[in-house]
Amino acid sequence: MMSGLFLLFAVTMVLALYGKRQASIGLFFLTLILCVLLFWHHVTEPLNLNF
Amino acid sequence: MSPSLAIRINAAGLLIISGVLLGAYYVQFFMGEFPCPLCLLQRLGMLGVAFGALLNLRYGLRPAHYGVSLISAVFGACVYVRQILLYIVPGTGASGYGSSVFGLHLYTWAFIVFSVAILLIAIMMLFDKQFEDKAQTDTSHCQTKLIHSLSILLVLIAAANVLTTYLECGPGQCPANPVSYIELGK
Repeated sequence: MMSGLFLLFAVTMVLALYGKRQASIGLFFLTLILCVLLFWHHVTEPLNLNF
Repeated sequence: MSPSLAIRINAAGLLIISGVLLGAYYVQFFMGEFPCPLCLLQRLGMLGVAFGALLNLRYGLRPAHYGVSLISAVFGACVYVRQILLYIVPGTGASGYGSSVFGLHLYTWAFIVFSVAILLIAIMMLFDKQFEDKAQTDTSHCQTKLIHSLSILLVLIAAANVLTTYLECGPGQCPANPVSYIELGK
């Protein structure tokens, strides 16, 4: 799953290099949204604290 | 600030971020550390910061490109906050994830990089002249080759992360405390 996010980023950069500015920015924001969703999964995970 | 100076600063930023990401690889392979899921999310944030600089170099200076870097830097800093909260309570037996480099954990260094990036991008955006004078953004042949090489390096770093992250985590969720490369152990 995480490797998929890096793959999306790599594709985003290749698109940018080959002159597809709009597509690369669109894909960047899609990747960012997926990153935020994955981050949200980690943020809402309960902390394992013992006092 | 002239557009050519702004281009040089963006190229320097791209080079620094590439260096930081390669440094993370040094720690991973030569110091035997396995990046945690939050560490990998911070790497993605770094790639986002570099992507904004890449857009500036490839398509010319635009506020939207700085915005891309800024959003990525804020995302990376948010990931850091979550990571530091995991280890903030004293006496819980946790002293941080991984070993320290120059006295600080890698995620703390990442936070410093994100904070400096946010500050620098905000300062860069104060100079309107770089966005107005499009003619001056023409770069020399040597500069163009350098920019192209930096861009290729960044793509290669992203591609390498695809491979190493897949080897570490496989197709599913990454373990919270990875201790081996899952795919290599099969």
